[in-house]
Amino acid sequence: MKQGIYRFFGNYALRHFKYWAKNSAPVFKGALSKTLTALGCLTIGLAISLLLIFYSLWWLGVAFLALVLLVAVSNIVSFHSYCYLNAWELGGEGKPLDEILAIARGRFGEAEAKRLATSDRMMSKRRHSGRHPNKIRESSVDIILNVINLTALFAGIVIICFPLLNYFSLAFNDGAFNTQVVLFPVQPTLAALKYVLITTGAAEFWQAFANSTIITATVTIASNLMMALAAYSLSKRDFPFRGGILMYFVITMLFSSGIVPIYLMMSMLGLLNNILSVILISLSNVANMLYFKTFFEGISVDIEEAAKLDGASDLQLFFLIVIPMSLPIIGTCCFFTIVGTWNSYGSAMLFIDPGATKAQPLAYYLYIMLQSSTINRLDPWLQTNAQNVEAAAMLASIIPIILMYPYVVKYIKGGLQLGSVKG
Amino acid sequence: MNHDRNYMSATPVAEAAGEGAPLYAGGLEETLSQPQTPYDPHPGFWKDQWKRIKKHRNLLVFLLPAMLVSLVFSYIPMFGILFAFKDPTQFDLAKADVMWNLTHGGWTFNNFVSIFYDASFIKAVGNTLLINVIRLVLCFPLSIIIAVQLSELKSQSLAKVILIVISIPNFLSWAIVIGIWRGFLDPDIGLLGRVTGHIMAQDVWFKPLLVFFSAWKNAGWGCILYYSAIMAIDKTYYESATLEGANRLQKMWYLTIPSILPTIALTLVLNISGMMATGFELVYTMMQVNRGTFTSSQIVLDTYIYQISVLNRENVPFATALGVFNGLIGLFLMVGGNYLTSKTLKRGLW
Repeated sequence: MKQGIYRFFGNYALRHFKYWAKNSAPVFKGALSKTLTALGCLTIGLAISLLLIFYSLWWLGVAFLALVLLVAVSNIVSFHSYCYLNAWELGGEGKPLDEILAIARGRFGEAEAKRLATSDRMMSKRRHSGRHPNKIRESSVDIILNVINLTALFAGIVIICFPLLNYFSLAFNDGAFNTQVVLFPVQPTLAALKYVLITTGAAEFWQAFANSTIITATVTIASNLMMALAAYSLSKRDFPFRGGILMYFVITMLFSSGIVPIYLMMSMLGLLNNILSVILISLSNVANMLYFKTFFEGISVDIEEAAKLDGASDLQLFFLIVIPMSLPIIGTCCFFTIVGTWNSYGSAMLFIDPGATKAQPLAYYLYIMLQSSTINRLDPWLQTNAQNVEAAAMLASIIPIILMYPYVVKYIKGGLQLGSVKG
Repeated sequence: MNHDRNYMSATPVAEAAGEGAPLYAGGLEETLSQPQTPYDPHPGFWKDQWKRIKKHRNLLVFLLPAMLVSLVFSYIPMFGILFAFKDPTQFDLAKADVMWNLTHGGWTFNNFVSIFYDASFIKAVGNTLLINVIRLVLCFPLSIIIAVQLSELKSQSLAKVILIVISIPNFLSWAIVIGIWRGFLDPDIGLLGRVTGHIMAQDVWFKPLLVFFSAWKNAGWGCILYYSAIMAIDKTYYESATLEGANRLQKMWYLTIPSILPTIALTLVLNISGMMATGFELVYTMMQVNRGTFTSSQIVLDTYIYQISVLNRENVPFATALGVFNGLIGLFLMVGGNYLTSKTLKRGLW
């Protein structure tokens, strides 16, 4: 029977048939998934790239199309290599050559096994890959995974960067040409930035900028100093009533009475429409305190005791030894406080009226600008450039964040170094 | 220290006297020779605490500013919960100041009852939960998926560059994020808006866009936590998994994901405890940007409380009751979420 099939179909077909009979399910599954992936990538990718090309983003569309074709071709190639490899793989996956030859000897007889062992195709395949046959198949799967992975990440970057570039290029663009902007300014001009930073809008913008600077600086220094001091006390294992005091702080994190009592209290204190209210409400930061505490607990007791023997007071110990030793955590917490305070305007919405321009933080000023989308329609220049002025104000407001971005880069490269949140 | 030694010596004495037999060889004579003291769970507790206070008297001063700030801005407002029990018909901030209103007028529990009869509140809770459940299902795994994808890249320096790029939106305020997307979705000049039309002004698109904006802003930054957790996994695990014949998907599913489960549990607890908060700035800015009207499909709990108390000042006791109720649910969710994850994943916040 075997001999008959062998005679009829030839060497290749026999092996192919045997493999399919034995392992048809995984091959079928693999082939199906590869075909589907190729088809899916082709359809979705073609649609997206056609859309991009249609909306005058031809180079991006072409790049995307190339990427899609790459995915599809790699899928088709891997499908072919999959079938081909399965065909010559005789005794199943992952077996050494001797074993395969033994099986062949049992099935086809001595002469055929010898012919197989010296057969050009089989040996060349093995020599070429230089690895286990299993590995060859896996590497083709690897290529697909890598391509899918890169495509998805590339799509993510496009979704992130495209609106950003598109919007901020409006800040340098002439308002009459706004419809033509894709990623870069079409008619470059600094008029909008000049309007916000130097001429008409300058007074309000710089007032808001100064308010935000004051709020951020005060909150960052005062809050982190207070929290670090408290955390230093609580990091002592034998501190009196340590658990109770910790509970006292953690409760404020777990339960808050809502915005109404805080609003009423601020109105009683007469701090409405005053940046002091925004500062005071963000002073307490228990999460930072817990980070500090975890870090301080890791500092060796010996160093502190040695300093104490030399006659250092607790204050000296804290400022001259503990703070310099915990600069990484202090930097991280300060960074988060700066970004959070600079960008938040929820408390300003509570305590400060939209009309009180003297006390507005920058983010709140931007919010009001967005809300009253037409700043001043009487001016004909503003009528066409309202969007550009808005973009210019937004761009100018993220300058401090841009300045801090090297720190972000360093932080990301070093990995997240926060301690766990443990009460 | 003192406390521990007393406790240790007290217990064997009591037991040895009761049993009449030595508990451990060689220790009996010594223990019996000590004067027998009555059992005291905390011998010298107050004396010990006083010693500690004297030892750390300077550090107690360190603690004062933080405790004072917490007291003034977290604990004193808790007395404001009393407003939730005031009779709203006799409460008018326009007529007199806050303290007068607190001390005059009747008391009632009806504010808490009428919460459940308030159609806007029910709608707000429904919207809040819906938005947060969608965010939990879509945005929460997104960061994990991105982190796993990044860790699967061959070149890890490329992964870090991508990470730096996709975490940019996290450093923009919500006003800027919504400004950018309003520009992008503008029907006249926006690139996407010319295709889709003015979808930011449509009620149907409010929630999808809200979820999308929060994913756009937070997903990149959120995955840094998972990425560094994945990078901390011992590489030898992956090598042995390869030897065992695991393919890459299996390695991802059976090795990477279980290894970062503690991190996932932690963020899951935080997510669940924030279930009743949608991000006040995001929602309110989105509501204001194009319409400035409150339709019932856009109302969420944060903005509803803000609207009826601060903005309109129409029913301050009721708004206080809402805030307290919201806080209690938040507390319950936090404790419950922590209990759930510590039971199922053996990890939690505390």
